[in-house]
Amino acid sequence: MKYAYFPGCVGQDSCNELDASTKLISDELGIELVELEDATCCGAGFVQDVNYDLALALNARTLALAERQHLDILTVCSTCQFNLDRANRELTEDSKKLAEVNKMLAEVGLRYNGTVKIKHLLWVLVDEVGLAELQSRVKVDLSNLNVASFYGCQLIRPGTLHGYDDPDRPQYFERLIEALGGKPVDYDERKKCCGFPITFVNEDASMRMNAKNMLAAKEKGADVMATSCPLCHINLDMYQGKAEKAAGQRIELPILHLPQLVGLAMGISPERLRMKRHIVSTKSVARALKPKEGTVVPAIGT
Amino acid sequence: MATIKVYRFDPEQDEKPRYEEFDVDMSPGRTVLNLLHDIHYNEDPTLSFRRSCQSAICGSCAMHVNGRTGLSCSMQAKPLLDRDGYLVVEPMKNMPVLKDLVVDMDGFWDSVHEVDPFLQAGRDVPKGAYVVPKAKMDLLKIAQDCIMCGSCLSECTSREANPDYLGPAALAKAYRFAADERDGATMGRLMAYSEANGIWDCDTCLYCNEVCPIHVKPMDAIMRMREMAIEAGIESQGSKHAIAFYDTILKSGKLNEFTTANKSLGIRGMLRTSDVATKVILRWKIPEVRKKPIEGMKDVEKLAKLVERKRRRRTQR
Amino acid sequence: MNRYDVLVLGGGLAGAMAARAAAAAGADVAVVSKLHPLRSHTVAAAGGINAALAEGDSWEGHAFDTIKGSDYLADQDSVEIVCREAAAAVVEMDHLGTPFSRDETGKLFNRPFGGHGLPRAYFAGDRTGLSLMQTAWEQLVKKDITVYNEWAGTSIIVEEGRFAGIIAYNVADGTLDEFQAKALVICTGPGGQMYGKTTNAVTCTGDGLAMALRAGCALKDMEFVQFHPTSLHGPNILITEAARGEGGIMKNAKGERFMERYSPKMLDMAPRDIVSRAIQTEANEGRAYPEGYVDLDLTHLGAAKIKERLPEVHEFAVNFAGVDPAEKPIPIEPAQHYIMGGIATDNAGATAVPGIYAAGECACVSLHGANRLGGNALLECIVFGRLAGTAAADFAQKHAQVAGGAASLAADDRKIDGLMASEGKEGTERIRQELKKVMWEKVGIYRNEPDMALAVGAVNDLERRYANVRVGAKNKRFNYALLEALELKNLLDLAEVIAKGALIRRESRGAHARTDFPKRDDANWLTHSLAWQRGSRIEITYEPVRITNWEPKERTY
Repeated sequence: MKYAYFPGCVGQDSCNELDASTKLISDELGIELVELEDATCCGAGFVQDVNYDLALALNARTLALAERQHLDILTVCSTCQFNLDRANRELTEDSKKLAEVNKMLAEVGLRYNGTVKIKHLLWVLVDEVGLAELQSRVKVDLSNLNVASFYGCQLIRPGTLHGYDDPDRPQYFERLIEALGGKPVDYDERKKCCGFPITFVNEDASMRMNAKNMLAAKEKGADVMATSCPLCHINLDMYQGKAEKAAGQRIELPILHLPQLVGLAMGISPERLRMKRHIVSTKSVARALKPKEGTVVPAIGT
Repeated sequence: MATIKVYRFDPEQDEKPRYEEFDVDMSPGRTVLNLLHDIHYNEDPTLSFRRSCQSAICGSCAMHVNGRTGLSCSMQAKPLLDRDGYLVVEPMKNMPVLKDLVVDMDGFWDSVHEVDPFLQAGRDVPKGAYVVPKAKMDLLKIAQDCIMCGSCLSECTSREANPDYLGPAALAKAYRFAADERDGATMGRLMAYSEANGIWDCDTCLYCNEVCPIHVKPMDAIMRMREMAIEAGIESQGSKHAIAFYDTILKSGKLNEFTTANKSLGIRGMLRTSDVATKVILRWKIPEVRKKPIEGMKDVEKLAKLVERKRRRRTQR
Repeated sequence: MNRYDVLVLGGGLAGAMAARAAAAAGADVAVVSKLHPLRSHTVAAAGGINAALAEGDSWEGHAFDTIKGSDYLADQDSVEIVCREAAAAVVEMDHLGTPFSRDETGKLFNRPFGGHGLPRAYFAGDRTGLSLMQTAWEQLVKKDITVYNEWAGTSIIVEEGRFAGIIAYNVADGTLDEFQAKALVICTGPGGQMYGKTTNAVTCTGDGLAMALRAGCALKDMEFVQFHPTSLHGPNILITEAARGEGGIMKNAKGERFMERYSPKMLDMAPRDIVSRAIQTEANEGRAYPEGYVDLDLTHLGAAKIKERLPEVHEFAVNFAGVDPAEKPIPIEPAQHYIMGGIATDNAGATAVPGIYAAGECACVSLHGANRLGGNALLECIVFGRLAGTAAADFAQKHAQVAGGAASLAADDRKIDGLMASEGKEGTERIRQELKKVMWEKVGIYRNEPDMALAVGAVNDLERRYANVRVGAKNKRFNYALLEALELKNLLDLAEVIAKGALIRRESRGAHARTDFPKRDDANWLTHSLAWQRGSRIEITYEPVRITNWEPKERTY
C-alpha cells in the first residue's frame, strides 16, 4: 500500500496532531506515504466560493502531481476528500473541461489523464488494511470506551460521489471502532454537520449545531468522539467551550482524530499521538485504556 | 405482509406523538405511498397525509422515511425494509407537525416568498421571445425544476440550527433568477441574498443535494451565487472570510489559518473569540503566523493568471 | 365570511392566469384551491405548448391541425381565437420567465407533436407544465394575490339566477365558510379519477364540473374522454408524447412497428385517440404482451439524448418500472388522460349562469372537440384563463353583489354532518374502485350499447350505495376521508353524465369509439351534447358546431 499523501492544511497546522498520528499508524501498518509537499490547499469550498475555476485548476494540479508518481491519493480530511473528489469527477466526466484545464496545466509542465483515485484513511483502513488485520494489531483494550463517530458531512455525502459508504447508513467508522475493540455509539447526529463552515459567519448557529451533536452522543453514552475531519475537530474540540455556552451546559467530551483512535488501540502512547494538544482534556480516554488481555508486550513508545 | 410503523400525532388532541404499527402488503413494486393508502382506505381512515400526482412531480407527499426525507410516492418499500429491517414513516423535519404526516409549510413558503421568486424584467424586453444562448439557459438547470416539496429544508442542518436561515429551496429559487439573463435585478438580488440568513449561512452539509428527488442542486446554486456576489464586489461577513482564505492560498499555496481568522473576524470578532484563543495559546495549538510558501508558487501564480485571462475573455463575449 | 369581486376556484395554470388577469383588470381577486397551486395537476403536463412561431408555420395551419384532430367537432371560431393568440401567449410566458429550451443560437426550440403537420410544440426540458405553472404562480406571488390554500369548494351559490358566491371547506380544520363574490372563474381541471387506469392525480375528481352542473351550468361533450396511449404499465404514469416526438417507436410483442398498419403517414405521431385504439386493438387481438401493454423503444436514441431531452421519462422508467430506457423498451399502455368535455362556455369563458365563468380542462369552449392534440391544453389554460379572468372582472365591475349564501352554507354543513355521522358499512374506497372498474371496462376506449347501458345502471346503483357511505374518521383536522367522500359524489355525478352522453351518441368520432356505430355520422351527430341537471335527472340537449373556414372532411393520417 503506497499512496500520495495529501495532508491538507489544518492537519499540519493547528491540528498537526492529525498529521503526526497518521504517519505513526501508517508506519506501523505498512502504508507507505509519499507526501505531496508541493500540492496546494484543496480549496475547502472557500476558494471555490471566490474563484471556482482556479480551485479546479489547482486541484487538477494536485491530481497531476500524484498521477506523475503513479499513485492514488490518501486524505485525512473529509473536506479535502470531497473537494478533490468533486474536482476529479468533473474532470473525468467532462472531456471538454479536462482539455481546457490541461491546456493550463501544460503551461506549468503538467498534465492530468484522469487516472487518480482519492481515498480517505478511513476507507483505506477498512478496505485495504482490513478489519481482521487491524484487529490483530490491537494491543490495548478499548472495551471501556463508548466511541461516537463523527464523519463530517463531506465524507458521506453526496452518495453518488464517493462510492464507499451508504450516506443514510454509514458504517465504515463503526465497523472500524468495533474491530479496534471499542463500542460504537448509535446516534443520528453522527451524519450531521459540525457547523465549522459557518463558524465565522454565524457563530451562534454553528455552536448550537455543535453542541447538539455532542450532547446527543453523550446522551447515548459516548465517552469519547472520534472524527475523520480536522475542520470538524476544530469545532468539536477547540470550540467546545463556546458550544457549552450556547447549550447552557457542560459537555466535556474528548475528541480524537481517527488515526489517534487507531494508534491508541495499537498501543501508541497518547503523548506520541500528541493528544496533549487537544483543548478538551483527553485524560479520561487515557485512563480508560487497559492492556489487552493476553498481551505481554508493553504499549509502543511508553 | 410486513409491518410498517407510522408516526401519529394531533397536537390539538394528543399529549405526545406515538408510533402505530400496521401490517401491509409489501410486495416488490409497492411504494411507501401505496402502503399509506392501504392503511387509510382499508384500516384507519383517520391517518392524514398529503398526496396527489403519485408520480413524483407535484411535491405533495414528501415525508421522512427510514431516516431520509423524500417523496413517498417514489420510494420502493421492500428494499428499505430489506436494508434496514424496519420501515418507519415520519413527517418532514424542521416544520411543525399539524397532524400525523401533514406539516405546516408556512415557514417554507415564507422563505421562498422572501427571495422575490419571480422574474423582474430588465430594460430591454424584446418584441418576440428573448434570445438567450443555450449555454446560458442551461445554467438554470441545477435549480429550475424544483417542485417545492420541502425535502431539502427538512434535512437542512443550517435551518435546524437557525430557523431564520432562508434554506436550500428558497436559495435555489433565488439562483434560478439571479442567473437568468432575462432578469434585470441581479445586483439587487445578490445584495439581498448576501445578507444575514442568506447564501453565506449555508454550512455546505450536502444534505439538500443528496435528498432532492428531482436532482436539483441547491448547494451548488448557493455556491454559484457566492461567486457571483464576490465578483460583483458585494461585501458580507461570509465574503470577507472566503476572500481572506483565498488570499492566503494565493500567497503561500496553503491556508494561513491565523491570517484568515484575523481578517474575517476583525478585532471585535477576535475579542469575542478570546476564550478560544486563550486555550489555544495555552496548549500551544496556535496556527503558524507566517506560512512558508510551497515550492510551486509560480505554478499557482501562473494558473491564477490563466484563469483570469479566460474569465476576462468570457465576460467580454 | 369573505368577500371579493372575483373568485377563482382552482389554482392551476388556468386559475393562476385567470386570477392574474382579473387582478390586472382591477378586480379584488382571491383564489380558492384544494391544493397549493404548485401541486395542481398542471405540473404533470410534460411535453409542450403549441404555437405557430416558426418560419413557414401559420396560425391557420395550427388551427387546421387542431380542427382535424378534433374530428371536426371543435368550434372553429374558438380554435381561431386560441391559435391566433398562441404565439403571443408563448412569448408572454417567456417574458414572464418560463425557462423555455433554446437552440444554440438562443432561439426557442420546438419539437414535433402528434397530429401536427409541423413541429410547433415549445417546451422547457420535458417539464413544460411544471415550468409554466411555476411562472404563473410566481406572478401570483409578485402581485400578492390572495390564495386560500387547501380549501375545497363544496357548492356554488346561485341567487336570483346569478352567481352569489361559493361555500368552501377548509381541509385543515374541517370548517365551512362562505365566500361572496360577483363573479367566479372555475378552473378545477381534470376529473379522470373515475377511470380504473388514469394518468390523473388522486385529487382530480372534477369538483368544479360537478358543482357547476348542480348550479345550473351545462356540461358539454362529456362523452369525449381522451385516453393517452403511452402511460407506464402499472402505475399509469404519463410517458410524454414527446418521447415519440424525439424518435421513440412503439412495438408490439412480436417486435412489429404496428402503427404502420393504423396510420401509415404519421406512424407513432398520429393523434392520441388513433394510437390508443391501435394499442387496444393489438391487445384485443393478442399481439400485445399478456397484461395488455406494448413496448415504447427509445434505445436507438442513446443514453445522452434521452438524458438531455427526456430526463423525466428516464426517471419514471427507472424509478417506477425498473427499466433503463437506453437499454430496454418501456412497457406502456393506454390510460384515461384528459376530458375534452367540460363546463360549456362561450369564447369569453362565460357559462349559462351569469357571473360564472370557466377555463382550462374543466371548461369546454370547444377547443378540442372530440379529440385533443398534445400541446393544446397548456395553451388553452393560458389563453382562456386570461380571457375568462378579464371577462369575470368586467362582469364584477358592472354588477352588484347578490346576497344569500346562508342556506347553502347550512345545507353543506348538514351534508358534512351527515357524512361524518353515518353508521353505514361501506367506506368510500370500495365504491370508488367499483366505479373505476365499470367506467374503464364499459365506457372506455371501445364502447357499445349494452356495455354503456350497464354502466349507467351501475353508476346509479353506486349512487344509491353512496347515500350510506361511511367516513369513519371523527377528527375534522386534515380529514382526508371526509374530503374523499365529498369528491366521490362529484365523481359519481360526472360518471353518470359521461355514461349517458356516450350511450346516446350513436356514432364514432375522435376519442368516442363505438364498435356498434363505428363510423362518424356528420349528418346526425355533427353536434355538441349539453348535459343539464334538472331536478334529479340528467337531461341532454344539443347545440350545433360552429364552423367558419374548414369544411368537415374524413379524418385520416
